[in-house]
Amino acid sequence: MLAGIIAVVTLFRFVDDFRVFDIMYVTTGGGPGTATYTISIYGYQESFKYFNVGYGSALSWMINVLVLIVATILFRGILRAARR
Amino acid sequence: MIAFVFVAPIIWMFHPSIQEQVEGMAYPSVFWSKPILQAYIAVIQGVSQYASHSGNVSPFPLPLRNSLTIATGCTLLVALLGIPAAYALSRFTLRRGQDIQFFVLSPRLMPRIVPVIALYLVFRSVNLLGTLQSVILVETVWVIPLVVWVVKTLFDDVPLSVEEAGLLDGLSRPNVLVRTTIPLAIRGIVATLLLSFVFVFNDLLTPLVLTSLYSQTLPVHITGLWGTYGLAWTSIGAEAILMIIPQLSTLLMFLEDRHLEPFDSHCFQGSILTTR
Repeated sequence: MLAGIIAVVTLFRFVDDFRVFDIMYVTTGGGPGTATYTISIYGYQESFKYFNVGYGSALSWMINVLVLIVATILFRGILRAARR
Repeated sequence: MIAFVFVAPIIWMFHPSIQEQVEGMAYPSVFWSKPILQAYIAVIQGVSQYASHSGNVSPFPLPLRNSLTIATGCTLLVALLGIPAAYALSRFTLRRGQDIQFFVLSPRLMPRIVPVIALYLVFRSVNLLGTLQSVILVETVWVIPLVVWVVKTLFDDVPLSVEEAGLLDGLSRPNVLVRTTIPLAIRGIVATLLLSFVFVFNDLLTPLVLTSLYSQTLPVHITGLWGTYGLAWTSIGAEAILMIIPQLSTLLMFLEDRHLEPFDSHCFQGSILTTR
């Protein structure tokens, strides 16, 4: 009965932690080295620190496709659970 | 004990804010010191602790005003757009209504850096970069899923018969919405809007990219204090504590309100949408 809800919560947690930005930005800035680079930090630094905006846009498309794939899989699961 | 775990960061932030600047920076850190309000006074008066080269650090009152303007404007806009949308989704059987609901939810799924890069370029070419309006517009998109989804479930709970009575007495649909449905769900709506206010107030990435020195918001400002001129722990602490106040007052309003039924019954939906 709770499968749908659990799937939704998982999806949101996944996406929220996937795109986490402020914690790294404030504390480590992606460092030491690249140990705490997240995709958001990477996109931000590429586009607004080095101003490779083209690179940043391409990167953001990749992120988008990635999230879309995960979201579609999970939403399928939700709908299947809801129908049952 | 659990409460302490949650309160500890706030205490930690409060501690340097009542110290002198030298003590705040000292290593090993000074624990007991005479509490002073110097940092607060300086912050409120807008005096930068680095007055001699404050070119990069605009004083506190300006970002505070920007933050409040953005959060208020965004909340009004989201109420104006989100409540009618929620009403339509709740009351009418739309073609592909389910899909529309998921479409409304989709901004929450996208990592914000994705649209923000594009929006930066767009706003640059229409000369909106560094204005408060641009941030208001973008933030509205971020919080609209929250408002539409929660308010929709609130409207689902308003009995249809009440509305039918209104329609029978000759009210138009918009009138029914304003005169009967919204007043019946007002507590939940206010709670949702306050929540969206807090989210906009807290957001870092969007204003970080879209604002300039004169339109920066509080989170951006406080992160900026971190930077070039060393760690201004005392003013960071003071500003962080002052920034908590609006949010704390929102929380207290929640707690004091004993009739939270609408929000209670939807704590599931609320909790999904509100986790950051």
